[in-house]
Amino acid sequence: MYRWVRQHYQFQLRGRRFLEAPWSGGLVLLFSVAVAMLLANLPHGRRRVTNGCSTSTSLWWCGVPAV
Amino acid sequence: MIDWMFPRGLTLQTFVNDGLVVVFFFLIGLEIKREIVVGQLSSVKKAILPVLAALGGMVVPALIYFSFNAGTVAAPGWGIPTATDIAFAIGILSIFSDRVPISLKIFLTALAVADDLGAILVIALFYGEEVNLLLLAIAILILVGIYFLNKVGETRIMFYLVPAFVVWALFYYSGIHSTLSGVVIAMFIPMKPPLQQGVFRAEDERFVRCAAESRVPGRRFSNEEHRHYLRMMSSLATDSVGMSFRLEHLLAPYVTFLIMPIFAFANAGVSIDSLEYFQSSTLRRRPVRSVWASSSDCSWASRSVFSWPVGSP
Repeated sequence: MYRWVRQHYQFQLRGRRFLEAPWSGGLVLLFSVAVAMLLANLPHGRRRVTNGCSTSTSLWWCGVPAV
Repeated sequence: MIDWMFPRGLTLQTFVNDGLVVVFFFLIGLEIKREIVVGQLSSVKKAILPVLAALGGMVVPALIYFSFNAGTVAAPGWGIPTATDIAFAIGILSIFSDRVPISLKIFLTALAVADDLGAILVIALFYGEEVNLLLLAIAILILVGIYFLNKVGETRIMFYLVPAFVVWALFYYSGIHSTLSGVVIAMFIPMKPPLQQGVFRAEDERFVRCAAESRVPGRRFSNEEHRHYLRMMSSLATDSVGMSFRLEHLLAPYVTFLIMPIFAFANAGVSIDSLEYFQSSTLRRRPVRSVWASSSDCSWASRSVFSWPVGSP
């Protein structure tokens, strides 16, 4: 139990340190770009990315469907 | 109804580019304002360099583009290379956090903002749809109202955020890129804290003393009086910082870890297949080695290492 709590605490601490590091934003952005590029160039991923980005969204909270 | 509310259609990409990215531009506007008022861009002499650099960064790529495409159907696209993507530029810069001097960071941020705003203006002036001047005039009126609220010392956040949302909507419907509204609104957010430094110091000392006196020694949990003074200290600390700084601090993690990755997902998915366009059209007509050979008149140039695809003219 103590070990689990300690590991959990250390994991949280590492996460917080990462979020507070000044370079973390750039790294997350680069990772997102890499994933987006990868998805766009995979045979199935490309269609999903294109469809996903051009999906008409609706004001679902008003119950108004998108045209 | 959706068509009426969102004349350009409401796709996920539109939502990200016209909605979420405005928050990013708002944050960048706050940072630039801070630097203009108290930081590295506080004098015209300091601010002129990034603006001139941005101007150069817009004019030179446009001229290069135009020199290659003059007289072709692609010539009107000169505005495309004028834009620098500020989001990616700043993101990449942040990776080199400790290795880059702070002055360089601010210079590049200011340059990227000036360049990006310039590109938005180019799009608005030369490529945009018809601008609805009435809506734009209403937006400017509201901005003037926000300016006067700032001047009379209004420090409640709702008095700025509600008009900001209206201004965003007016920019969106007027046909101007709505990201511009984020930067413009940021310039009107007050930086001055509600409490002066002297008042803060005196009150702070009083609350610290009262909190220390109200605490019962030996008790594990604080009593109501102690908690009251702690709350007062927290509210005092909030009031001693300007709204601009508070918003900057509040928005930064959401922008960095939520809006920017979503923006990247929505816009960075470039298919490499699109490079076929260059192979099939432009470069087949003007292969680099033929240009090289004709300019230098060297037969060895045809064996150039520039192995661009050469097809039929």
